[in-house]
Amino acid sequence: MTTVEDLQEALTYLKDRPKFERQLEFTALLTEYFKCKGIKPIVVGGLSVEIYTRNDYHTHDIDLVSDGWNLYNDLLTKLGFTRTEREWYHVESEMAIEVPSNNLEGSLDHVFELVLPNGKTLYIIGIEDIIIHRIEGIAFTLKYPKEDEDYEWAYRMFLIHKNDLDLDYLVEQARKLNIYHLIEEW
Amino acid sequence: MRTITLEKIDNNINENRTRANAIIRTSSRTLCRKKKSRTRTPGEVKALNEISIARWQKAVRAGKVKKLGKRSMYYDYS
Repeated sequence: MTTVEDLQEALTYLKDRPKFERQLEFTALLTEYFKCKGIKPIVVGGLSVEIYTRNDYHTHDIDLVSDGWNLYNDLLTKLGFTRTEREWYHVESEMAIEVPSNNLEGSLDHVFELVLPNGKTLYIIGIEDIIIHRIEGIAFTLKYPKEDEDYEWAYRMFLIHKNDLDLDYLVEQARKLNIYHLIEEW
Repeated sequence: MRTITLEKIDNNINENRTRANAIIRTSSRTLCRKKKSRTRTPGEVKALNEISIARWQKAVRAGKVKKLGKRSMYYDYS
């Protein structure tokens, strides 16, 4: 079981580790910490893109979909994180965490469990859903969504993982959200 | 012409990066991720796609990514 003291200690020893490793290890510790409270954080956003592209994409935030926002606030404040609007950040370890919602916009059935080398686990939004999210975020706000960086990363994730994707689900979601025309050519 | 050593650049980064990041984070008018303004050429995109695919496949071959089940994966970040 992970305690507050374990997390405090981790902030010290992780601060000199590479950013990607630091983010994954700390997220796994948070996941373990919240497990006994019946809370299961799911990595979404930029870090999920980074995981699915093997550190090719870079993000500075850890975005988690999770229940228990107040518990995060209590814990992260205790650990020395500072809150700025919706985000907590820790200067020394250069980590920033956001819990934007407690509701995963996507399928829980497609969530992946990642097992890290130290045996600790974390949960990550399904590839299909993060592809959809990236496209949805630009589809209705930009004149030329296909020229946007997020479109590029969505397509890249598709190309990397196309043999493992649930294509029926991806197409079904894309159609439902009126963004299928943007991925049809893939 | 001015000269600077890599060591000097490294020192500046080590001394200032953490504080700079903190300032940017607190003073940023928007919490949204900043996007690059320059669109990549199709050639650049293609090259990066191929590199990304190869990077993932290399990790699979090296045993750094292994499917453990339908929705479970071993993932070594190194």
